[in-house]
Amino acid sequence: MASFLPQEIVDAVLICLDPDKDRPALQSCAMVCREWNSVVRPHLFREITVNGEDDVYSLLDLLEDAPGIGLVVQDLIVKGGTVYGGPFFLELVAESLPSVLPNLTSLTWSWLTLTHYSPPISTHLLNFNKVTHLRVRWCTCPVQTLWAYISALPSLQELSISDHQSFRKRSDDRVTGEISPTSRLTALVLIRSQRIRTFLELVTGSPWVQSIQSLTTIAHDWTSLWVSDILLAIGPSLIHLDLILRVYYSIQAHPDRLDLNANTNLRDLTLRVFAIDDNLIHTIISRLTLEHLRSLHIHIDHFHESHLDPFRGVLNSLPGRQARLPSLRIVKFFANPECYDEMLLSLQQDMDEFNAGGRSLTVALVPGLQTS
Amino acid sequence: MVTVVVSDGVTFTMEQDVAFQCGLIADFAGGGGDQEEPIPIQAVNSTVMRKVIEYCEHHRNDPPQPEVPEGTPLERKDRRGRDAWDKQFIQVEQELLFEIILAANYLNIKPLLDLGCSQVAEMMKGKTPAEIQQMFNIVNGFTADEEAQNGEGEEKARNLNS
Repeated sequence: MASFLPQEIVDAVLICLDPDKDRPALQSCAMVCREWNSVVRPHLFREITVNGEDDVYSLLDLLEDAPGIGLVVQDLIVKGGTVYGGPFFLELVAESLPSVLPNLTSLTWSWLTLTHYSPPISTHLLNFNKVTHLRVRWCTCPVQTLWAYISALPSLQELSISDHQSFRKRSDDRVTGEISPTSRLTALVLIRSQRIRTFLELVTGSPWVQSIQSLTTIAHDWTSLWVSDILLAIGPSLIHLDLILRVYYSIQAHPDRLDLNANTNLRDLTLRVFAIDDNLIHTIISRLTLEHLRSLHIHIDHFHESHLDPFRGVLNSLPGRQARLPSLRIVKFFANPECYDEMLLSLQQDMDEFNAGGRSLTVALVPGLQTS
Repeated sequence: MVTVVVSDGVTFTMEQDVAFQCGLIADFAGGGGDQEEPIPIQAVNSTVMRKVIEYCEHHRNDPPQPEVPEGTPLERKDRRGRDAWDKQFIQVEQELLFEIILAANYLNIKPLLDLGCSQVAEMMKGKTPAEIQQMFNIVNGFTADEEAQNGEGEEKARNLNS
């Protein structure tokens, strides 16, 4: 190839193009010459989206012409919708794609409506044997059916379920026998979904979740799902917890529901608190007895715009055992940027006192709303 | 002070913190004191060297950049951003841009190499394969069949990910 730039620099140029944002440019580059084609292809086809059954057939057609493409696909997004997205779509994906996408490590199921359990789907999903990461987003499916499909993936390590909707009526009758996942999860994200409690009940005590080290989830007061329930569902392996708390009513009558001490191995704790009651954060923090905690991040919403009691509450609530806590980070969201300097100035003394013990307290004041 | 002599015989003298942004010069000087003998830089001419020195002088007080894994796309790297000065600096003719990139590669100035590569990537956006071939002086090595197959494949892939 005659070029003004050597291939190693061309490679560095091509890697500057983003597979998502600069897709047309990458597609042009793939058609420049053989050398460029071989460099660009892995970027161009790292992620593939199939949006309905027709797309699956198109992909199979493409891979028949160019089987090499299948080797570079790592992330498959299976996207349903109003027309597609039923069980036959997922069954077609599970039956036809594992053999032609042998290096797939990440799967996303998006907008699928799976009304009933279909045993062939579980059987075929077993063939995605290198998939370690599954994201389930905006899917409608009975919880037990969903769990049956998820647990069929033999190498799953990281699972994220968000915006999942279940059905009012039980339609899990066809899920028969005991589901025994062969994989061991290390990370679980479970947010904005119905029936989290049911899901946690299903997995409680299962070896499947006994190796989870990292959990991101939400607890809110209108479903009676509380922190202690969540910690009971996961084993003592849990060391990173990112917890969103949405509490709009008084919890003072049931402080035990916010007990984080059920898992004494927690090392990193992030609390994102949406609450109208200042005492909530005090209650949680003052009850902490976690000996291994090494970092505590607290995100406080903007309800209390004009005063800093939540900050001081955190600092004053830390019990003696937490005196060794090396890292404390507090993020306060607020809507009025004009009070930023004033707030920061008035916090300086508290920060200096905390940091005098060789610890690290950082405070971030973020304009805008906290999002989960 | 460090003195270098480039391919067209011009000599440049720089302060150490400017010169040592070039990994090659830092290695050559061994991190020691002032160099008495000029360091020969045969792969770079004086026009390009002036640009390189201009870049190094502007960034002489920058903090060291964190290590990022090779192959990480530029936009995802937590590295020195393309500030307004960088953007202005790298707006040069294509021929000079390629020479700056080659010099940055030879002299081992990673941030300048990244900046140059990123600028070339920007220039490729919106161009057809034929225009990119012309830009890089590349002869199309595909057969007609391969080209047709590529086009069809890319079209299918484009439809899949649209």
